[in-house]
Amino acid sequence: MVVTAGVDLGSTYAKVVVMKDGVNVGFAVLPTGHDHDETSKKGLDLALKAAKLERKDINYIVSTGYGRNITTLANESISEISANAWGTRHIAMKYGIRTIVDIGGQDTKVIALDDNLNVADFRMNDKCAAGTGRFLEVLAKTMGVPLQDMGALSLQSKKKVEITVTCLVFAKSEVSNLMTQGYAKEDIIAGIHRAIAKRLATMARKVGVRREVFFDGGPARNIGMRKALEDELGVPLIIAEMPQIVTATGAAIIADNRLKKGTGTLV
Amino acid sequence: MLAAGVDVGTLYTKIVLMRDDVVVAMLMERTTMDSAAQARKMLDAALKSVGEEHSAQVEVFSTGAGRKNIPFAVEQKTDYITMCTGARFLYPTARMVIDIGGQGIRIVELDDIGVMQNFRTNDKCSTGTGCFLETMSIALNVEHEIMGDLGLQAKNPCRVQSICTVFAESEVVSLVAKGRPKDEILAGLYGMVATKVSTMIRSMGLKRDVVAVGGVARSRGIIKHIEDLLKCEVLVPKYPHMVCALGAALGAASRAKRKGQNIQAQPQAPIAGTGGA
Repeated sequence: MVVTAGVDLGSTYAKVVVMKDGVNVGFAVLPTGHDHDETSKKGLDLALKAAKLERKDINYIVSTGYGRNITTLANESISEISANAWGTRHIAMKYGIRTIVDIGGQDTKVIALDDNLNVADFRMNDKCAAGTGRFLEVLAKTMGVPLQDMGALSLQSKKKVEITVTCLVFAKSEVSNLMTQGYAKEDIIAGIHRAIAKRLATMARKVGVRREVFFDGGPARNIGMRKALEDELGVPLIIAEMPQIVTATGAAIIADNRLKKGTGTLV
Repeated sequence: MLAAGVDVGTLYTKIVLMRDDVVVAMLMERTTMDSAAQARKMLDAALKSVGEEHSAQVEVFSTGAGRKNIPFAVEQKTDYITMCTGARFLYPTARMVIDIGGQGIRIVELDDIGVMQNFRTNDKCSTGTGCFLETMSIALNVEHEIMGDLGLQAKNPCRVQSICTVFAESEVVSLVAKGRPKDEILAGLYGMVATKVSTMIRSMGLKRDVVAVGGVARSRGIIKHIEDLLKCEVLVPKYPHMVCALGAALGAASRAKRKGQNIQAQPQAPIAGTGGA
């Protein structure tokens, strides 16, 4: 029995996946907080509890994400681009994914896979908050709508409202203005989703959009976001059952592969 | 003869009132949703402060992002024009004018007689604007009015890695949590703004003299950082945030004067009579 773990320390949430012989047996998602090391340990223990395993059972841990070099748990750290591609291959192998669109808490990525499902190209934005999970989060707060209700609400939109600015700081004032002008909440929310989708689509077109397209990261759970991105890209999207843990799954799979190749060391 | 410039900025509305080519009143207020009523009220207050009536004949030019919302303005001028008019009036040798306002950074290059040659603007991104500084002043819990001088003496400026206002805000929060002194964090933020502005200037080619206007120019820390990066003195008027309104007022004054001349230049009405010389 080989037990591995993937720890994805994102800017906003930490995700941990525990695998037994390459099969996901437990996972945890928790807010990152300010102590990345502490959070990763807490997350690992939660995931192990779900898997009914203990820390001593683990053979190899791979970390990824924003805080991948801060956690003291990992035997190895890997970039989130690789981890995301590995996770996508594992989860959505049968679909023949060629493009991955990922929205993180503080970044956005578009990854192109070649016909052997290896990373061929990618674009990443981690300089600007426009189009990231933070954009959605801050504007949800500005509107006083719980983040998890944004998707369902936006589906009721009947009128098109445009968010004309790029910067999140400017978008905040634009959204407050739209609200004081009496625009319906659901119309504004749909506009926000469209603004993010437009930005992502521009980035995706630079890499080249080849079917099938896989959409992951926390905001992929938002049905309104999915719809907006599908409209913008003009292709249907493949979504994982748990879009948040794709990258952590990839890290756990990489750990599993290391042991298969005999390069892993015991924790 | 009365002339006024109304600068409806994204954050603040400014009014400059001139009487016979002399500035007699200046007012600034936070921009509200109803900028027309606000500007009229401010103009009345300015008129009252110099002993004029509400009904006094004033030539008004408007400028700024909300310039189209001022119904009593006879002309609307873009910020690019008014900032240059105002800056050249105060510093006739100005060849580059930097305007850092609430939501925009604008840099205009002028030739030696003051004609616009080139310009750059930040357009999409809020970094370095007044919005940016207000966000940081909230994160640091310091009044943005006093931010200007705080951080000038910092010996060990923090390095702020982020480019985005939103990400820099989180970075500032974590720097505060790490116990870094406020003035060192501020010095880091000034460096960030100054880098952005000086990069824009360098892409155009530096021309002296450089004049900085707009509310953010009141921050001596930022101006000092820009001077250090450009290795060039940056001239800042006493009321940098009023320069666009001043430019508009100057424009209005010269229009009023032209109008006056036109009346004089009109042929005199024929006089009928007998005798005379």
